[in-house]
Amino acid sequence: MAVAAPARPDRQRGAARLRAWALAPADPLVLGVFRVGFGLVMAGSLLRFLLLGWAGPLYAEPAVHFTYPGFGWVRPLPLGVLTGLLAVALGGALGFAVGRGWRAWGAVFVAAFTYVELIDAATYLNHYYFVTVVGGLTLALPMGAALVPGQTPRASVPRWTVAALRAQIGAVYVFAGIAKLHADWLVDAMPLRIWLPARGGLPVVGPLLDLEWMPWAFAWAGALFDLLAPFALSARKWRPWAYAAALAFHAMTYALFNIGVFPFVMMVAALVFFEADEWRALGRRLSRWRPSWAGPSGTGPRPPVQTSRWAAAAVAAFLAVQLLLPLRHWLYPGDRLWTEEGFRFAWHVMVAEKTGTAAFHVRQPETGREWTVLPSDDLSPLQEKQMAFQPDLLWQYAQHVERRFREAGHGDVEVRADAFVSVNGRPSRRIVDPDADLTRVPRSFGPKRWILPHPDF
Amino acid sequence: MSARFGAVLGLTALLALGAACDAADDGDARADVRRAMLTDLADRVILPAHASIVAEAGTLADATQALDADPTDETLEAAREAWVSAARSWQRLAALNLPGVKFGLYHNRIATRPANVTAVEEVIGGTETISAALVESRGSNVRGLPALEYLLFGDDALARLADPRRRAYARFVAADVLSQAEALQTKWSAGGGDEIGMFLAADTEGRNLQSSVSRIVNELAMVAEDLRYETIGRPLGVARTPEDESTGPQPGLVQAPYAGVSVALYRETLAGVRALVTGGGGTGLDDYLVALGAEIDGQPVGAAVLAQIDATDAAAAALQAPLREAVVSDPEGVRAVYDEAGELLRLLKTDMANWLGVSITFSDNDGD
Repeated sequence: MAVAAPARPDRQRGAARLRAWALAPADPLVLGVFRVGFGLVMAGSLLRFLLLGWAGPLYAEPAVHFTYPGFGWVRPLPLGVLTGLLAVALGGALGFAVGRGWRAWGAVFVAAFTYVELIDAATYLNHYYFVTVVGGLTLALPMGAALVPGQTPRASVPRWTVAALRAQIGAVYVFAGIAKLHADWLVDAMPLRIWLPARGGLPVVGPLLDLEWMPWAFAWAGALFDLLAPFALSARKWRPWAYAAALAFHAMTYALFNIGVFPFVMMVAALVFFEADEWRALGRRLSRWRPSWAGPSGTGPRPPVQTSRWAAAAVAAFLAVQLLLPLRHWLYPGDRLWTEEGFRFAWHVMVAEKTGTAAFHVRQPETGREWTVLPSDDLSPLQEKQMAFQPDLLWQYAQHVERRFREAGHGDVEVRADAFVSVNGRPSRRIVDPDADLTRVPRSFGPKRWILPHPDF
Repeated sequence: MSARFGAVLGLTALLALGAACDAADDGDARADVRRAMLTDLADRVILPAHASIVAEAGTLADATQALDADPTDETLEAAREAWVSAARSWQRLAALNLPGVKFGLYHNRIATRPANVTAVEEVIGGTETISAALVESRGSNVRGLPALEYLLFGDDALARLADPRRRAYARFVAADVLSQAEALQTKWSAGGGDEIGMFLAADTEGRNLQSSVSRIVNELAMVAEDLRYETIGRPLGVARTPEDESTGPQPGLVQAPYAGVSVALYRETLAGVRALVTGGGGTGLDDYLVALGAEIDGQPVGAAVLAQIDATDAAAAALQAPLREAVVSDPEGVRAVYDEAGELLRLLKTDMANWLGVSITFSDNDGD
């Protein structure tokens, strides 16, 4: 009786059209330029990290480390090994930029960089995560199809490969913009209202930053920029202006905020939106010192790059995750600025000024003996301050306290957090249920019932 | 494109410059307040505090010299008074070990607690000639004000000071405290290490950890933590490490276990915190917070902080016995100080720090 329904012709046509679009030939130069730029800026970034000597105080010296779910197996390394690993990452980034064996170099870079990043969740930065995400994505794309010394470029790459990279980088801007569509940002101009006056001592621009209305101007301009940048950068007519705006925007954030190389990484990343003919036009202008390998040689290009269906499917799945992950905070009750649930890996950049104070109360149930434990006893100042306002890190520290007491021979103790947090100028409020024994709460992605609601969110 | 583009860039720059001049004419209130605050903190708080410890340490050095020359009830009493004055002066300054200042060494040599009395007795009971060089060669917990407190206020102090080596050691330790205080003052002074010049200049670098506002706020948080846990919580037996096998109050952990002036010293620390917040009665953090519009439930954050300093001070003043006794005889009274100090810690480290947007780390912050 059952009759197989015929495939609907319009759907078939749509799929065919999508397929034709995705597999249409695109110039590989876009990927080549990105590979060189990204590799070089990452090498520079790692060199800076090594020269500033941050590996020790950030990753090697702290006695305690906060982990990411599923990555508890990542162990801290002795400073010598860690420095070596960072040097390996630097070498990988350079090899990736140069191009011969770029995929192996890139894999080494991404693996080494990500390992270090995973050592301590208290050091989480969206900028590190960006490097891992974009670096990881490139490994599945034909980044070596152009601009590899001694190799003639390929005739073309499938269009989806270029589109995927642009989509990922564009998504970072858009999600950063969406994160700013929050009353704190748009209505109260927070935390810019805190940050800009703190920079009022800067020469020339300092007085400007001190103007009453300036935080609101920054807030709205920043949100609009983030939301529109990828679209403006995608339109040929707007591209020079949009890129100039991006340069100005990132340069300003570099000047105003202590955010390291992130602005430069984004300046380079945004170059992905330029088309190959624009690079060629630039190349012609600079042709006097153009290296011989930068363009097609006399022999003509090598055959087009064919990508496998599996690579395309993997990248599609990766991008789908990247499009959903930043929105997961909607699944949790309460405001993400308060609970931090769904806050990481979601491009919630610069949207909160948070401070906290935390102590831990320990109780031995059999004897009723009580202790108050100070996190500053065994955390670095950075860890202590980050932990104090991030509920999942407070939970992790409670587990650490439980272990410490077990090791000191006190058996199975209860651990409660006495923690207060202030967000964007709001009065501090208690964030963890003071009655909740955090050692009885399992680690999970579910809503944390022991986070107290904030009356003002 | 380039010509038109250049014109637009130029125009933008001109507009920005114009607006900047405009803003400067308006008198940028907040930056002015911050500059005035740093100036007052330098002139009314930091420099006078260092002048004070040098003067008090000088008096103490003289008094121990008189004691060494003629050990009597009177000279001992004078030395004890000088010690208490110097210790009080030190507490007001202790809040000024601003992060970024590499003078922790001097602070350690003047005030490492608790004194290692066994090592002190070993030096005195030994045969090495007691001299400035000997004191110089010893660790921080064998010298400084805490070691001197033990010598001047310990059991049977006068009788034991009949030993000339004991008196000589007291005299050289006091002289060492003076020279450390002088070195510290030199480091701060404009004519010496000019830390004060750097403190005033660091206003232009608000975005980093070395900015003066960041340094003050980070320091206040640390001092407030000490005010709650180190000086009250540990003697009370509340704050303990898991490795600590002790139970109940720990009177030996009070700040001045021999002199019995821990409460007075505690209140001096609060006065030091108050001076930082008020700019020594001039323009202080409280004024800057008002300029920033920082409020807690309708009350200026600075006013809330000052009220909480008062509340903590009142709870400490209410203790009738020295702290070493009160932790046993009046745990509820001490607990009240601990709780008020907890509120103060929360206000300084969370509410006030939030509004000041200080950098909490030497490394990168999250990006744009």
